[in-house]
Amino acid sequence: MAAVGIRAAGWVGTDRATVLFAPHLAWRNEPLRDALQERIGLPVTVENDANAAAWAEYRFGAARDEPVVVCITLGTGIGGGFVIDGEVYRGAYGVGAEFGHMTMVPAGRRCACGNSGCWEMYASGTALAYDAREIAAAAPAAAHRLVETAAGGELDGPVVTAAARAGDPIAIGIYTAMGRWLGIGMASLAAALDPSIFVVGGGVSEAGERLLLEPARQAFSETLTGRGYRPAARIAMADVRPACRAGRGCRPGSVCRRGQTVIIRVMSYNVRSLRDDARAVARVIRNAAPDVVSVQEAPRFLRWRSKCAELARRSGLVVVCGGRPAAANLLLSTLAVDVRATRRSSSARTRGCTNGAVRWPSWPSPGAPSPWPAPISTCRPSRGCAMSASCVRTPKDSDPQRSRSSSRVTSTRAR
Amino acid sequence: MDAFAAVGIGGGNSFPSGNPTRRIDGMFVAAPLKVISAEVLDSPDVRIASDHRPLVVEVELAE
Repeated sequence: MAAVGIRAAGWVGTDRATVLFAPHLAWRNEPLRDALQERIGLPVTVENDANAAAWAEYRFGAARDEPVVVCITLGTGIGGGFVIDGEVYRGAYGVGAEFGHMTMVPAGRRCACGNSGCWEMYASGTALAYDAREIAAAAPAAAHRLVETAAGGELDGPVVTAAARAGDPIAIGIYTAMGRWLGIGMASLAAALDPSIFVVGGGVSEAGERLLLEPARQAFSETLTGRGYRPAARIAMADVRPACRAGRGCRPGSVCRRGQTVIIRVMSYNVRSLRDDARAVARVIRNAAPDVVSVQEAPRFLRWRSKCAELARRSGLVVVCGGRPAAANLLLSTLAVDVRATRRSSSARTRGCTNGAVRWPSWPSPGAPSPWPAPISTCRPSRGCAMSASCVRTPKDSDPQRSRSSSRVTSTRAR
Repeated sequence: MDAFAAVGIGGGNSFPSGNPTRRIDGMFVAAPLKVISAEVLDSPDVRIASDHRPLVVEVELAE
């Protein structure tokens, strides 16, 4: 190892050594470079986190070879990065491109920076939580699925994301509103900077194209100045993601793409009929962010259907198949997964099994044949699926836009 | 293929959840798929949620 680069969430001085101010950290004039250099004995460079993200996208990601790049990272707040003709633009004093602190709404929501109405108070993880709490306070009945998903914990950004993925219209509405704020802000930035591409990254962006970028593109095209008479910047999802170490970098709904592959997370979990702490089970599942969960010892006695459905909802997932008829084997998945077929069986000789053929439609590979055999049986809501209400039906196989990455997941419980 | 035996991190014991001594939860993965990681999770929630710990396996789907 020859040198170390550190990205810090704050204003970094022109000397690339000191973090002048960090709105979300306890750093004021923090000599970060010298402190680290002393400890590790290697040359250290400090860069603003969003500038580093913009540079990574320009060098290796979605903005490769683009002349003017604006990178927006959505997390607790909004980070901004700006690359012009292959150079990171930092401003005269090193603290430029803080797009998140442009005033969008005069006298609007209070921001951690001390001002009011900053853009990041309307488009970030903080904004998701703000909206969710506002709805929960004003209209508790409408927010019941959000509250259930929170399972006794904080009503925060990840809860909204989980509920939106499980199809809750209120949570989807929060995302749509946030996507529109994002698009309106980007249209203002386009008026000032005229970039060739906007790259959207950060933890919140992992909600995906449909929840976030589509409403953003819509609002952008409706508010861009001179629309129709000028080329409009492309809006793309960031490509450079944290490394996939035990999955902490990957989240459901945004299937990890490495070259020509799809990486999915499958969880196997014996939940002991939810006899211990059912809410803790849901939190464990949600925090692990799996794409598919094979549950053993799912609820199988009184009110097993609603208990299984509740477990799915609290985990931010949907029921694929199984339950009592499969001797308490249950499959759950995110909505990013298409269910092609389901089957379950149990007899005196086996402990039961349930079998779901699923595929990942977000991976486009038109024309590639499926490496898997034909579906086991067609999905019959009345009989084939244990829970027709939450069954995710697959569209026709002939649709060329859908993809073929598919797999089967079987849950069995052995003695 | 036993996913955890191939690429697992740590001991892999999953039962009982408080102080696991036995590896009785597993995942078998078929040949066209590549196992990237396998991990038995632990957290304060895991210990109160069930008598088993969950196993999370990351699988790379072949094109």
